[in-house]
Amino acid sequence: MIQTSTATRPAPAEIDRSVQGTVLFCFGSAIFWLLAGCLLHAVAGAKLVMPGFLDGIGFLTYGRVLPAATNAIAFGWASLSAIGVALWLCARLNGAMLRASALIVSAVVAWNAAVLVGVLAILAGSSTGIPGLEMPGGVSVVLLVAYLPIGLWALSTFRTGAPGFVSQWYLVAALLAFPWLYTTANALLVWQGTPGSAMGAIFAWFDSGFFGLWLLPIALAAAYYFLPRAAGRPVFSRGLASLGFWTLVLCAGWMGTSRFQGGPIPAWMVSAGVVAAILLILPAIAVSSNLYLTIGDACERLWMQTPARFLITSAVFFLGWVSLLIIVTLPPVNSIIQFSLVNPGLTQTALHGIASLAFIGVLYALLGVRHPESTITPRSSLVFWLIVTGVGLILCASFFGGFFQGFALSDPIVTFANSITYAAPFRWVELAGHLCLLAAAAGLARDFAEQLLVSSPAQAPKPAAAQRPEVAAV
Amino acid sequence: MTKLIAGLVVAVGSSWAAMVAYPFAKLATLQPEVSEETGGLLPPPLPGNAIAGQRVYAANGCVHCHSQQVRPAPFATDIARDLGTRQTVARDYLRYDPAFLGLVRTGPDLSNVGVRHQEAAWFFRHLYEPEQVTPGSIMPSFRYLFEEREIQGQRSALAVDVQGPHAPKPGYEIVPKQDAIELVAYLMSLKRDYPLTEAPPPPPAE
Ligand code: HEC
Repeated sequence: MIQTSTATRPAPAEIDRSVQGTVLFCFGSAIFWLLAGCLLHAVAGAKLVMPGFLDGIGFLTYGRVLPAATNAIAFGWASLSAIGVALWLCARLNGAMLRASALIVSAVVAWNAAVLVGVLAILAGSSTGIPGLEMPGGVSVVLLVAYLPIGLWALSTFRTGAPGFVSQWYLVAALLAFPWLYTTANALLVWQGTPGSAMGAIFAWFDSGFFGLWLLPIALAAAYYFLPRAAGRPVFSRGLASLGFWTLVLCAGWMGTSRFQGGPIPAWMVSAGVVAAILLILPAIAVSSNLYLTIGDACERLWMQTPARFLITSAVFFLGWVSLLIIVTLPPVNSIIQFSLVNPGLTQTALHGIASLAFIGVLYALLGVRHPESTITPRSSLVFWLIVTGVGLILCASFFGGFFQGFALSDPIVTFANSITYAAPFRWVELAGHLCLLAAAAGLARDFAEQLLVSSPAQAPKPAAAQRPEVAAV
Repeated sequence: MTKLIAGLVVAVGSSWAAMVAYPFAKLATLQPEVSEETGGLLPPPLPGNAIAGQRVYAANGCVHCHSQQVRPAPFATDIARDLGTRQTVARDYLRYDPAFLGLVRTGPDLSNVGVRHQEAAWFFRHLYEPEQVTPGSIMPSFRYLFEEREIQGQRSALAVDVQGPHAPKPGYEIVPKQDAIELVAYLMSLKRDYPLTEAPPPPPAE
C-alpha cells in the first residue's frame, strides 16, 4: 500500500541479480569465519576439560583462543552474514538495484582483512582484554570505515520507500545501531581507555546492544520478511509488531548492566538493567505470537521449506532464550549463577540459536532463488539438526552444569575445587555441542560451495521465488 | 522515516545517556580518599610494574576465567567465602585501566589475591605450572612467560622452584621474563583491604 511506485521499480529478479554476487561474497567469507570460530571455540572447550591439551604455548593459551573464537564469530561470521542479509533485504524491500557493488565488495574485503588481523593479533597477545572488544584499536577503525559505504548504501535505499514493512523498521534500527555501539565502545574503551568500573557499564551497554540492537533486529527483519511471504499472508498484527519492535530497541540498550548485580557500579544502574531484562519478555512474546499467528496452519508446509524452517526455529529460540534469561536475571537466582557457565551458555544460545539459524535461513533462500525448489534437502536438514543439537547441548550443559557450579561457588563450606569437579562432566557435553556446531559449519560450507558450483548465475534457471506475486508484509 | 529515526534516537539514546555518558562522567572521575589514619591516599597508587602488568593480564585472557568483584552480603556469599572482608566499590578500581571486573569464575575471584598470597615466588611457581601448586587445577600453564637459562655463578633470586617434567636441565634455571614480573606485580597489587567511606571495614569479630 505504501509502495505505490511499484510500476517504476526494477523487477525483483533484476534486483536479486544486482545484489546476489555481493551478498554471496559476504556469506562465503562469513562461512569461513564460522568454521574458524567454531574450531577455535572447540579447542578452547577442550582445554577446559583436558588442561594439558596444547598447553604452555602462548598463542594457543585458553585466554587467547577463546576471545579469538568469539571475535571470529561475532565480527566474522555473524556481522558479515548480517550485512549480507541487510543488503539483500534493503534492496528487495526498497526496490533498489545495487549499482556500486565494486565499492561494497571492496568494503567487505577490507572487513575480512581487518577481522583476520584482529583474530591473529589476539592469538599473538595483543588483546585489549575487554570482553567482546579484544581486537586492537586499528582493527576497529578499519571495520568502521569499511562499514561506512555498506551502511550508507543500505540506508540510502530507504529514500525510495517509506518504512511501511515491519522488516524495514528492524533494518533501519540495526544499520544505525551498529556504528553507534561500536564507535562509542571503541572511543571509550579501546582507542583510549576509561579507568575504573565505568568500563563495566560501558562494556555491558555495548555487549547487550551488539546482540540486541545489531544481530537480533536483522534476524527478526528476516523472519518478518520471509515467513509471511512463505505463508502467503500479511503479518497478522501491525500493532503487535510495533509493540515488539519498540520494546526491543528500548530494552536491548538498558538491559546490559543486569550482569553486574552486586558489582561496583551504582545500584540504580543494575536495577534498571534487571527491569529491562525482564521487560524483554514483551518483544519476545509480541514477535513470536505475531509470527505464529501469521503462519497459522501453514506451519507444517513451511517446516518442509529450508528458509522457513530455520527462521521459525530462530523465533522459537528467541522466546526460549528470553525466558531463561529472565529466570537467571532474577536476583536470588543471579546471586548463585552469576559467574558460572550459565551466562556464557546463554550467549551461545542467542548467537547460534537465534542469529545463526536466521542468517543461514536467508542464505538458503538466496540459494533457493537460484535453485527454485527451496524444499528441505538432506544436506540443509543435516545442517539444521546439527545446529539445533549443538545449541541444545550447550544450553543444557551450561544450565545444569552452571547451577551445580554456582551452588559450589556460593556455599561457604564447599571448596572451590568442587566447583571445578561438579562442572567437569557438563564441560564435556558443552564441548560436544561445539563440535556439532563445527560439523554444521563444515556441512554448510560444503553445501554452499556445491550449490554455487552446480550452476553459475548465467545459467541459473529463472528465479521462481521472484516470479511469485509480491505479498505485502503490511 | 523521520519518526522512526527520532524514536530510535530516543530509545537507544536514553540507555546511552544512562549506561555510557553517566558512568563516564561520574565513575571515571572518582578521586582517591585521604586516609585518616596514615594521611596516605586510598586506594594507594600502583607501582609502575603493576600498571604495566595490566597489559599482560589482558593479553593472556586471565579475565576469561577470573573475576575481580566482591559482592555484598546478604546478596551473595562472597564475603563468607573469604574473597574479601568487604564488598568492592567503584573507587576501588580507579587506579586500573581497564578494570578487569570479569564475568566468570572458572578460577577464583582475584580482587584480593594480593592479600591471600604475599610472596612473588608463590605467584611465579603457580603461573609456571598451576598443577604443581594446586593439584587438579585446570588453569593453563604460563610457561611461555618464563625462560630457561644457564646458571651463571649464583642462582638468580627470581629462579622458580620447579620439579617434574618441566623442571630445568641440570645447571639451568627457570626465571620469569619481564612480562611475568609485571604480571605478578599487578596480581600482588590486588588488595582491597583498606577502608573507604562508602565501604568501611567489617566490625571486628567478637
Ligand atoms: C582456564 C581458566 C583460567 C585462566 C585462563 C587463568 N586461570 Fe588462574 N586459575 C584458574 C583456576 C581453575 C584456578 C584455581 C586452581 C589453582 O589455584 O590453580 C586459578 C587460580 C589462580 C590464582 C590463585 C588464586 C588463589 O586465590 O589461590 C591466581 C593468582 C591466578 N589463577 C592467576 C591467573 C592469571 C594471572 C591468569 C592469566 C595469565 C590466569 N590465572 C588465567 C583458572 C584460570
